[in-house]
Amino acid sequence: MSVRLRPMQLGDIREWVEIVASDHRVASRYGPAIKLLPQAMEQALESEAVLARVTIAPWSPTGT
Amino acid sequence: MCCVGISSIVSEDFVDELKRPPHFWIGAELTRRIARGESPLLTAKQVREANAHGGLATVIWEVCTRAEFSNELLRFNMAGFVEMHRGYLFKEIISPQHHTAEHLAFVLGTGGRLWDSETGDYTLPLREDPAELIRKPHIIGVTRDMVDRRTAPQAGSARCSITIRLYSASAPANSAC
Repeated sequence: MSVRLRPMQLGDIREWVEIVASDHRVASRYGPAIKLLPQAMEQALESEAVLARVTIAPWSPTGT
Repeated sequence: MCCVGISSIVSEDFVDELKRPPHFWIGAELTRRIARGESPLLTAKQVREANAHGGLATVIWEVCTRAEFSNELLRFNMAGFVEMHRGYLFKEIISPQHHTAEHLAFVLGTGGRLWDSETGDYTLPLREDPAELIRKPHIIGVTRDMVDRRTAPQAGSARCSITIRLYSASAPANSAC
């Protein structure tokens, strides 16, 4: 499997929030705060105090 | 995209607060505070100063993986985590609050320990079943002091935890790994 890492970008936020929201174990910990995630992460990514990486691997929503 | 790992360099006050019971879900609390303008994140200047003098406290905000990849990506992501943090001087790293008992066991195997608010220190073994532990807010972390204590007897050994490698990345004197 070909896997690589790259820095997280503003354009990744929407998909990240979808991943969080789709996992009930994670989403339940956020509760109503999950709606604040895009706004908070947008600010966080502009900060030098946040290090964020995205792992890219072959994946398809249908599992194919 | 199959996984996102986010770490945050935060104030000492925030670390003290999250260690005091009642504990809270770190990701949700960071989200709320940043959204309402009460961010515990250090400023760029504070990061530079703390990195040069004393070290940084880092809290892993979230490591969220698509369910299809959870186990096979653990080691890859941990190696990526080490690379991402190379060059920083850490004095404490608090791991993500785990979603599975397997992930918790993996992090404990890399050197993380459970925060015990009764003794005010990190500890092993766990006092409760990992599957139960992850259902409520918990703190797993490691400090530079803990790593320094563990590094000496392991120097020259083939076994060297990822956590020790992480701390060693910014400390040439400890670069035996």
